[in-house]
Amino acid sequence: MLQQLVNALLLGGIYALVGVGFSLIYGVMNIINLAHGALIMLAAYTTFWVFQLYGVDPFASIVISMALFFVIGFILQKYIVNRVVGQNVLMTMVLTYGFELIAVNFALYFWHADYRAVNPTYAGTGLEIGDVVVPYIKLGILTVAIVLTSLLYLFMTRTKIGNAIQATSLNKDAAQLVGIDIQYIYSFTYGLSAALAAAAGTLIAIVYTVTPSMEGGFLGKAFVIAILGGLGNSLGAIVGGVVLALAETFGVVVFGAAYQQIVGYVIFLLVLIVRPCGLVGRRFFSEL
Amino acid sequence: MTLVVKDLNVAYGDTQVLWDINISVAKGEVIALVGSNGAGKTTLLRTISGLNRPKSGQISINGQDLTQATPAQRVRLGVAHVPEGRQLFAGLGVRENILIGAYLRTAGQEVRRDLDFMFETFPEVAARRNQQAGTLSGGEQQMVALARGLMSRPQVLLIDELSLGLAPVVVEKLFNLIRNVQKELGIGVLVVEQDVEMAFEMADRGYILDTGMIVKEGRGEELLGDDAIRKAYLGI
Ligand SMILES: Nc1ncnc2c1ncn2[C@@H]1O[C@H](COP(=O)(O)OP(=O)(O)OP(=O)(O)O)[C@@H](O)[C@H]1O
Ligand SMILES: [Mg+2]
Repeated sequence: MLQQLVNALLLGGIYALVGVGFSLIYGVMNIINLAHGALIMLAAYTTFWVFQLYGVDPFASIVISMALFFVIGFILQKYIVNRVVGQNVLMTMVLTYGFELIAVNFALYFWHADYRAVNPTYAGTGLEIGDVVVPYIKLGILTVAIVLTSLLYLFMTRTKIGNAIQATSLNKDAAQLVGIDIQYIYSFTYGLSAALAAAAGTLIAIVYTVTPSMEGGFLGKAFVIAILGGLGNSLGAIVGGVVLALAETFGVVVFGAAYQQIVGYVIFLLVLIVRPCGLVGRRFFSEL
Repeated sequence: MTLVVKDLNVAYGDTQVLWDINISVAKGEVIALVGSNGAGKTTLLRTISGLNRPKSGQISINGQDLTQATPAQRVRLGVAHVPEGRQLFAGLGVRENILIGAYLRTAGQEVRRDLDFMFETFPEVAARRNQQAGTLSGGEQQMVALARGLMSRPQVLLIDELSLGLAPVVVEKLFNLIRNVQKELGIGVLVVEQDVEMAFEMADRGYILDTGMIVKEGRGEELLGDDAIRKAYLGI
């Protein structure tokens, strides 16, 4: 049971990172970013290759990877995604899905459909608490996830640019009237989201396997997590991630492994029906 | 002259809604802009602050041309706009809403002093500084919107529908507050107002906008004394 809880929290940390970035983009520029899973996948490959070729520890490369993906995301928004901001939903989906297809085929072409894994030397060791064994690697992942989500929270609530991102997501006209350059905020937000996707991709590469087709699963999860937290409410996505992970983990215990995915989607539907503004549903935020 | 609008034409798609508008607001002046629903008052204010783009014409502040500037650049050059319906950031706190008005300012000390000044000027709001802005009453929200606009230290303050949804006593109080603050800070004010009588009593000068054209301008008391205006707008 305790072992399960540890696993759930670990997964929750990763899910939170997956969902936050996705929700952030929807909140700020009303785009369902179908490229999110592809960014996670590309980041996972980046971690894999940096480890494979240069032996850089994934916990060290995460910082570089986040910085790199911030820049990629910023540029991607500024020159490409920005063309569909404010257009109808279909256009935004076509464009971001197009990027997704390109990225997946790029990965398939160059790296083939092989399953790859990052195996640091300390992968087998763990911390024993009573009869529960917590692998150091998982402890590390959980720590990184908690640190990153906390930093994001502080960034959004305490810094000027974080406030500007929130303001832009709440009211674009008013944001411009106080002098916020919303074009810059759009690009910055996309960069931030890509950096978070990179962090998630790196952590995923450490515990799971890396394949070109991994993006689909994580894109679906990102969507569920974002809805659970209240679509567009980026901080709610942290809660959404943990809830989904708990549901999936304990769903397996109760209903069996075959139902792992189903449990998540059932909760997703229930939340949509009962609390369409998400579990957290902070007043005046992300009113749908 | 602080703000000058010259031969301004504005259209939504093919539908032109403003025709050859010429107005000006000088330092220390309060100008009232009145007109019936759909006359184009909001469109004019949005075009001055850069949310809408004109078809032709010029907008300048202190002789500096703004016509191509982004909304953010206009804020930097001294234009503040308190929009119709207040448009607060409902999910943020009252204090954050006011403070974000100083987004482009860097001198922290001065900003904090100005924030204190706003709380002194609007004591009702000060008492609720930690509440979410969406929970305030209409009058309190309007005060927050005014304070947010003033936090950028503007040269010209544009106010759209000061009285929207507010009781006449509250409007009168707000008008007096604006008068005082405006004198103290020496800024120009362009206020759109439904209550024509109050607007022209409070204002130094006024403009009447009718289906996209300025049909009358003059000193406040002059306009109030005009029989045609009294008939058309005051029903007397
Ligand atoms: N976004 C828009 N797209 C198309 N037409 C618009 C838009 N906004 C306003 N209009 C039209 O422009 C004209 C002027 O509207 P505007 O909102 O400027 O009037 P107003 O004087 O502020 O009216 P009110 O007193 O009702 O606020 C109206 O005919 C309106 O229907
Ligand atoms: Mg209007």
